[in-house]
Amino acid sequence: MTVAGSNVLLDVSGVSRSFGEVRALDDVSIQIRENEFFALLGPSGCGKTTLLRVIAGFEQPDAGTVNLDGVDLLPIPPEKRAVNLMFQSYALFPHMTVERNVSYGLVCEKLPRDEIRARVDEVLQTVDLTDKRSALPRELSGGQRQRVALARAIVKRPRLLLLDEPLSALDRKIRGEMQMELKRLQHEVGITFVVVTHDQDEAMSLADRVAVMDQGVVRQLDAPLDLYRRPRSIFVADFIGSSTILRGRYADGAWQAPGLGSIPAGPDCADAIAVALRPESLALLAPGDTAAIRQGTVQEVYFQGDHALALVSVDDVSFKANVRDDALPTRGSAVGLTWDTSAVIPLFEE
Amino acid sequence: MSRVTRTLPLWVLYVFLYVPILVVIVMSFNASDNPFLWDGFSLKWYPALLQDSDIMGGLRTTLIVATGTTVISVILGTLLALALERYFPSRFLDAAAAAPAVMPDIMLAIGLLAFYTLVNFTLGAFSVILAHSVFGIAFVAAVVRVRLAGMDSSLEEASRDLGASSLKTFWSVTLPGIRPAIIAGALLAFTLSLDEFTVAFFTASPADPTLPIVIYSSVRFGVTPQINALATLLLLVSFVAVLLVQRTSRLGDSLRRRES
Repeated sequence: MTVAGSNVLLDVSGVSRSFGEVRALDDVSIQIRENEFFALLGPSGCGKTTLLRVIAGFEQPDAGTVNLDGVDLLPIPPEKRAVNLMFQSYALFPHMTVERNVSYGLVCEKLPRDEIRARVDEVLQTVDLTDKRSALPRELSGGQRQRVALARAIVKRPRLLLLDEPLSALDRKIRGEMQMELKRLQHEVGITFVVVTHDQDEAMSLADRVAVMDQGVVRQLDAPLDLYRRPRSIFVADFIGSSTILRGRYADGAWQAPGLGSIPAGPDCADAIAVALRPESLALLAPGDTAAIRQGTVQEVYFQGDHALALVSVDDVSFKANVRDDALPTRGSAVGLTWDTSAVIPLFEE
Repeated sequence: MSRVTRTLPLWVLYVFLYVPILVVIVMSFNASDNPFLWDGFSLKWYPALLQDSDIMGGLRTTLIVATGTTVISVILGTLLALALERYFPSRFLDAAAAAPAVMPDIMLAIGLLAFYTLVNFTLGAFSVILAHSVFGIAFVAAVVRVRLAGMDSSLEEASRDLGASSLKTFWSVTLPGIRPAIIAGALLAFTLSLDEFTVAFFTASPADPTLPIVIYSSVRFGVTPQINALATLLLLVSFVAVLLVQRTSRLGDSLRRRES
């Protein structure tokens, strides 16, 4: 696994937090390494924001420990933690200029004026906002506000920077630019980043490692590529990327799926409760081609830009298959489906 | 239908609202001693006000009372709003905070007088200030709360996250955010106290009456043009205050709207 640095910076261990009947965090344990870009990914209500607020100090867990550099964080109030949070709404102070927003945290530290000035100048240069230093937040664009919020947090030189849905308030177009910007900044300032997001593309393209959360539980923690190639559960396979999921059981050296019969699969599927097939692993063949594993009918074709996604129905099951856009099948046509046995992903949990 | 006929009911309503006030203003420029007979234009009643020691004394007391009420109401009302909005959300406490603003004055007056007598409190400007603060606090708290509720609470969290103490957060982030509401609340408390009669009548010392009480006592023996002049001046003060409240709250609204 390629992860920058290997010292554990933040150690979250056995953290639980309930709100009334709802268990927002259920025995969560995560270790985040120094200089890592870490993502907490999950649908809304999965507990990722609660975990972020526990680390920042705005929420106390019912059980568990949180250590930063080996020091217990929980008794320390948020204003004294070497952790900063970039809020989803950015939370820029509306009555202060960009410069005063950014210097706020340093003024709170009672640093000498010269040092504050030098550090603010430097960080404004880093986020390319030097010419906006006297502007008020309402005079800035969404992307500029986001950079001010980022500058205000990193100027404090925290050990850990938490980012709550950092890109969700931006237009789709500048979101891509800001993604690259975030990645560049993280390398440049050398701070450990923990980003919370519900957007799988964001997590996959930004992070070194991703923790996928659901209903207060970490379902899987892996590098993006491993999450995509080796999801362990139906939830993760379904949440990340798209796939065809076939429940069933492994018997007689093949996968037995109800309504579909036996399908070739490797012995690694022996203990699985379901298998997943990624759309790019499936290939369409001419009808009647003897190499086909199954024959089916094209239900629908969705154009995606560089390729298209075909929905192929075989008996009662819909398969998702990628097709090149120079060979689009027509709706209702008969096709053959084939895939490599090694592309069948075993899933061991719900 | 033309615009004039369509807006006619509106104009009739405004005439209804403002005729009594216009009569007072016009009569304050009446040269005659008889307040019901027009006898030419004169400004003499205005300087005459300054010569009247009862009225000047009443004005002095009223200004002291209104200023004191405003200071107490703004401080305690703002703190109350903060407590209800940020720390102890409760429907019962909410209702209990708003009640003094809508409670009949006469009830408040009787209750306060009974209480002052019970604890042997000396009646004077201070007893009226405390009495007026009862509804002043309720008004300030109501206005400030609306503003607080509309404020993004992550601003305060961001301040703490950046290393500010609770006190620093209040001064640097919360207070600037609710400033327009505090100004509006202060103007409300000031003008309400300025012309309040019932509660003041019960809780003021007979030796040191507020201006509305002075006016009431003199009117019992007939309205003088001098009173009309005084009323005109008070109207001017109230009107300016209402305009200021409108301006500050609209300013606040537009600031907030541009923010989002």
